[in-house]
Amino acid sequence: MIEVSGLTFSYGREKQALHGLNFTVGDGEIFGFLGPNGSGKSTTQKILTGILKGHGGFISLFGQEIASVHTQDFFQKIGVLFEFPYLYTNLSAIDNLKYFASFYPSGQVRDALELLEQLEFKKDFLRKPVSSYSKGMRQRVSMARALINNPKLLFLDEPTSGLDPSGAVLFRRIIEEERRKGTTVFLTTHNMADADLLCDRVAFISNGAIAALDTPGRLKEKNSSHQVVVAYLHDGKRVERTIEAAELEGGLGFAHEGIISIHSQEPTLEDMFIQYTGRGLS
Amino acid sequence: MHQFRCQLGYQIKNMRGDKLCIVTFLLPILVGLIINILPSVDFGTLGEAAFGSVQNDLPEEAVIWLQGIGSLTEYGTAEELKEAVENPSTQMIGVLRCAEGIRTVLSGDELELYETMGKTLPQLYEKRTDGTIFEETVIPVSTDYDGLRALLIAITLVTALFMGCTFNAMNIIGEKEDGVALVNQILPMRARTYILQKLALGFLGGTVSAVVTAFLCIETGPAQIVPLCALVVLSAYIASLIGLFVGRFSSGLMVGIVYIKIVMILFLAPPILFYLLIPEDHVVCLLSYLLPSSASFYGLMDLLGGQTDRLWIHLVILAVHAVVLSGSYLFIAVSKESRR
Amino acid sequence: MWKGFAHLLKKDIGLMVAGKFFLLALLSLTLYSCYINLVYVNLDQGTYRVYLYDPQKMYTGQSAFITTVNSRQELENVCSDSASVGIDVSGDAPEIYLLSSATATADHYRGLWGRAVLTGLEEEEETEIVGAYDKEQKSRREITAEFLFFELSAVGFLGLASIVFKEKQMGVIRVHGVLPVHKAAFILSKLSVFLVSDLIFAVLLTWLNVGIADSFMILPAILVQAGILSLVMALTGFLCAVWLPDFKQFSLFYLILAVFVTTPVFLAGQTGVAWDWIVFHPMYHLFAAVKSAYFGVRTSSVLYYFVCIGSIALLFYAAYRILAREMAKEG
Repeated sequence: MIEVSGLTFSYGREKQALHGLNFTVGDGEIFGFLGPNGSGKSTTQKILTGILKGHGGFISLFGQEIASVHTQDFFQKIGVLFEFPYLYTNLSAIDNLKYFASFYPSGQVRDALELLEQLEFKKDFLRKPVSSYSKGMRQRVSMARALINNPKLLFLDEPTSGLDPSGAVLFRRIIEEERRKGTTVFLTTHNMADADLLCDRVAFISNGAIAALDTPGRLKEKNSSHQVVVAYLHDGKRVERTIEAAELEGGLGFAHEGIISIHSQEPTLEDMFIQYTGRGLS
Repeated sequence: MHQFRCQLGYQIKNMRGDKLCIVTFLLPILVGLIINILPSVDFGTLGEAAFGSVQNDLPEEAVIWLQGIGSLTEYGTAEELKEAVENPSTQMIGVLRCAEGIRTVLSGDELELYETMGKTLPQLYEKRTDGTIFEETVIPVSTDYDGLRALLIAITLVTALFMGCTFNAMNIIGEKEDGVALVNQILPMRARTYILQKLALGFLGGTVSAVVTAFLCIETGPAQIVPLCALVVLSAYIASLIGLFVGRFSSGLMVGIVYIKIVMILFLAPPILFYLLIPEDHVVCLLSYLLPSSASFYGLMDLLGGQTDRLWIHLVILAVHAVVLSGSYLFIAVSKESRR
Repeated sequence: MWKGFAHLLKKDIGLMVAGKFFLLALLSLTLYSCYINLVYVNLDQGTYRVYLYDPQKMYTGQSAFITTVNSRQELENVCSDSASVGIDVSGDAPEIYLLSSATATADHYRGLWGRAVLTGLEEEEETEIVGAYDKEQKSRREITAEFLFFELSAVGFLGLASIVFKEKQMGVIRVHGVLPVHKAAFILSKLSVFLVSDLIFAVLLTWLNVGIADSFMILPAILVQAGILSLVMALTGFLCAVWLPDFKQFSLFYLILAVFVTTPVFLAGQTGVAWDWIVFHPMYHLFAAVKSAYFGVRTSSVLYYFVCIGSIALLFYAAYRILAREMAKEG
């Protein structure tokens, strides 16, 4: 679906934002693009969606070279959720969705009310202006806008930002549903939990370059110490011991009266990110 | 077409929530209403010469004669009269008795018309009894408007028309502020559709505001309707184009508001000032046609004065402005698009 | 508490520079000066032109006010505006031909003027001149006073408000609520910067357009009036900017202020329209005082200065209270 090779971009002469990115995203895949602020995530997304031009390198979308791809037909096939909920604040959720939907062929458009219902949007606010909505409600309407045209390729920038935990769970469920329908998702995020739970593969981007790219599981496995911490009771006291994971195969080789917990010492995605890029995600 | 109407409908609905646009839309209508419902206000006094005299100084005949050629204000003492003459806000000519005739007092800073008037007034007064018989043919203006009422109506209408630029400019700036401008870039919307949508928005705002204002304060005859409509349509289109420029070049709301103010001052003040002070064949007056609002303003003044023979010149000038501005905008839009 | 005042001043100057305030002021100064020197001082309203159609050449030794035309048709064509008078002496009796200006008295005067010019005007008589200025000096002083009034009342008001809005948007007003700086210093630093910048603007505008020598005597009075106007408008701008929730609402308020507050003042001050109610319009007095200062006339009474100082104190108090409320609300 997406093929990027040697992608470069600079804002002016001195400010090189991207230094030769290489990655591919397969059909129906959820691809996570992880990086701190200013790392080049949004720039990459803007280039892919045609908002920014003047890049170097090769990009192919829907099997076509990018120079010829940004046509009306392309925009009909994509959905974009921006980092902030961009909506007409004087219009209601329904009016916003109907307005944006009017640009797509009618046969392709989803029912706005149904979509908002799926996103658990409060019914009382359907006809009220967006200016009266909370950030979470605006984010829901924005998500509905991104999905209104049944996109084949969905760009999501920080989709769960501004949502409460249940909202974040709902959004993850909706993204999963999109994957099941065959939609390809390009997910740009800070949120390690989102990336870990949703993404088939993730790329760590730092200072405009990809530092690592693999499935979350493999990234963690590759860097795992293969140890587990076992907490158990011995002589009525709580004792913790770190052992090699392989040792577990032959059972616990030490005296104990009961196991309290076993924790794998596998690193988190955030640990991996810091390891690969030398930077935190703030 | 249906899609376009529907999209325009939502844009208008969005603008309805914008108090600034509503006020700019309603303001000329309100002023038009005031001009219309206050017909008793005598604007005419501002178009005539102002004379001042000292109470009980001038003979009755001189008082009546002066009242026949201008407005006459009486002051208690000669000092008060001189103070009034000296007042820089007025062009008042002081008139005092001088033997059987009159003499005048000037402040020395008058416009040429009033300076000559002041210096020759005693001779004109003397000649009032001159036996030469003249026939007098005064061609009436084919309108009910006195000079200043017509001026106020024209100013209000031009304001209404050029306020049209506020609608689409604020809409575009609002989209930038709310981030919708970014969404527009990923919608399957052609640049042509976008330009037409924004043009229609400004055009509708300016036209509706001007038509309602015109309806309130102009009594149009059938002969005036077509040229008036042509003036309104062309002016509103140009205003809308200017709105597109303002919207495109404004980085934010504050900058946009400053631009709109500059446009309003630049478009309204020069034609009014030049109309009032400079002969119409003066080079400055001709140069003022570089501003499209001048053609609208002079055209409206001609219409209100019942003159339609020169109207086509104003319409042609407006059409030229419309073509040049459209071309410039398209050129900028296309070159920006290719650079993006 | 007042130690931070210098830092506040530095920060406010920085904000004004970043907001291109000084650049805009310089542009306005250039624009106004070009307009005054190249256009306004040359504007005049000429004497009514008299056109004569005299095929028999009966009237010789004509006045300089008369222009001869060759046909009746030409006469009617050139008299198609309300500033011309036509005289046709081709018939038995001379005929005055003019297009009405829609004001009967003005038409009547034009008729008399035409007759007088035709029958011969003697050398212009000596007239008593009571004013101290000629037309150009008057034009320069008048328009400079108006531009200064406009700049201080409208643009200055907007300038300060835009800075306050910027600070509001960035949320730093709230930060100042928890800094060891007196709230009054927050207002005073802005007022000082705007006051100094407005006074410099007033001096430059006056020098450039009235002339350095001519403005020597009137400059102190101009600076006093400009100072009063600057403080009143800056405090009003500050109050509105802190009080109104967003810049859009503020600009709406500004539009109403510009249309309903300054227009009648300009009309009354510029055209000599006699409106009895105008004396109740506070801006009219400020405008009249600025204009009087330019003409070297002392018209302002002690009461005027008392009211001005009282208003500034009151506005400052209101600005202080509303700022404190805003800081508390946001904090």
